[in-house]
Amino acid sequence: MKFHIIKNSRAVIMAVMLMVAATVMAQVPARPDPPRLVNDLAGVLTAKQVQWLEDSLARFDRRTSNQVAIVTIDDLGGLDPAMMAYEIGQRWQVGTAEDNNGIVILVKPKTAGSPGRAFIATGYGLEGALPDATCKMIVEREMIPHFKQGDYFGGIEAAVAVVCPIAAGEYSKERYEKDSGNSLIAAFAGLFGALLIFFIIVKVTGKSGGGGKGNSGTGTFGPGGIFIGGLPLGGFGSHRGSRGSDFGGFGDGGFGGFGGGSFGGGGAGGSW
Amino acid sequence: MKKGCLIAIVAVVTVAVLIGVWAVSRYNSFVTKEEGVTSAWSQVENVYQRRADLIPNLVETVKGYATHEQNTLEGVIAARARATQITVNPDDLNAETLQKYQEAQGQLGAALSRLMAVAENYPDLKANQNFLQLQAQLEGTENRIAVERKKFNETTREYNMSVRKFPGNIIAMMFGFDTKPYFEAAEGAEQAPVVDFGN
Repeated sequence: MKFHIIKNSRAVIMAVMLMVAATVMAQVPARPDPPRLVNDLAGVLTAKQVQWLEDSLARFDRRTSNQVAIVTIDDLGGLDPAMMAYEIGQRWQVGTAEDNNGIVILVKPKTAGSPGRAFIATGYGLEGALPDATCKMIVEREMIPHFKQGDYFGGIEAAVAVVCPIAAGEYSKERYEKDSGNSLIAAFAGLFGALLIFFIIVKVTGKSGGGGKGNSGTGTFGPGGIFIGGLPLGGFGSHRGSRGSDFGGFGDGGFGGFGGGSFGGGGAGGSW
Repeated sequence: MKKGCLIAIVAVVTVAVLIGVWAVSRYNSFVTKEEGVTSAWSQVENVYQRRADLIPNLVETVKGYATHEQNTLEGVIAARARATQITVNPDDLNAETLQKYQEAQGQLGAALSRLMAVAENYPDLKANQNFLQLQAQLEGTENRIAVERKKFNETTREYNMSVRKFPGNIIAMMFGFDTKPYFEAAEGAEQAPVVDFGN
């Protein structure tokens, strides 16, 4: 008799757990097929902005194998942003299986009834390079000021511009944490430089004239600006190198797919 | 007659060998799955340890600002001491030991959230860079705890299912593969805050 009761209560627990698992599964967006790094499910970016980010992140993936996935979503379905970002990272398997070097940047836009939420989740392998405190700083310093003005692309771009070089070990988190005062001036300087490079490139590619390839052309060269854009001045020199290799990436296609990375709950976020 | 006997022997031996092969493969899969539970458990202990490691620094920082919160601070220190004493060897992982572990960690979690609530009353503390960093780390650690508990439960569920399913459960019983306990959902939620008057 007692045995039966135990068995039944176990069955009930099991059923409840399965139900919980099923509801969580329903809320987390499905892994995109074909795979994409930029998933604007909330529709806050233009097609061009999505393409630009996708191209630059795909190239960053090819160059360093670090995978940065961006997800905007309207509804967290009752999940904490940290858990949602973690679930996305874990289910989509962002990052490689060997290095677990995935990052998920999650943005839930502010609506009339609910606050905006942003979270940067790091895979197991990047917890050291991007500790929670650094992620928090990036969210609060790079993303939220833009988001407050409704500029979602600006905030995401600024975050990517810092997250990528730090993840790749090209820019130290300590330096980022110190570089607080002059980041605005630096951003302007960076933006100016990016624009300059952009125009030169447009001119050059315009001459070689790839009519049908126009889309991938601007997309591919854009990130030279992206990586410089939000960086404090010191990062300028060191980023010439990476821009150089980004040119090399021209023409070898888009994002190849998620790699089996695993997440352990690292990262931080904020709200506005 | 003799031929029939031979066939029978061959059949019996074949079946025995097949059963043996099956038993070995079952056994090995239990071992693999149990190993998964063990490593998931060590991850759980890691993240709890990580939280415990943050506390001395946190207490020091808060102490400098919140001078009237001696009780809350001592509560955290005492809960930390109790929680770090309880470790569970994966071989002794059963409902009782897990319960004890969870209780101690739950009390520490509750004491910590009281401390963080108290910290809200001190604007200078809230503006302290060191405190902000610790707060971010603590939040991150709580997230990691949630994740590793979840992973532990998932791994354990897989193991338990394989151990309890017929006919594999016969092999499991023979070699002593017992089911393992789960973490309960909301840690510390069921515990009323304990008022600590100090010793």
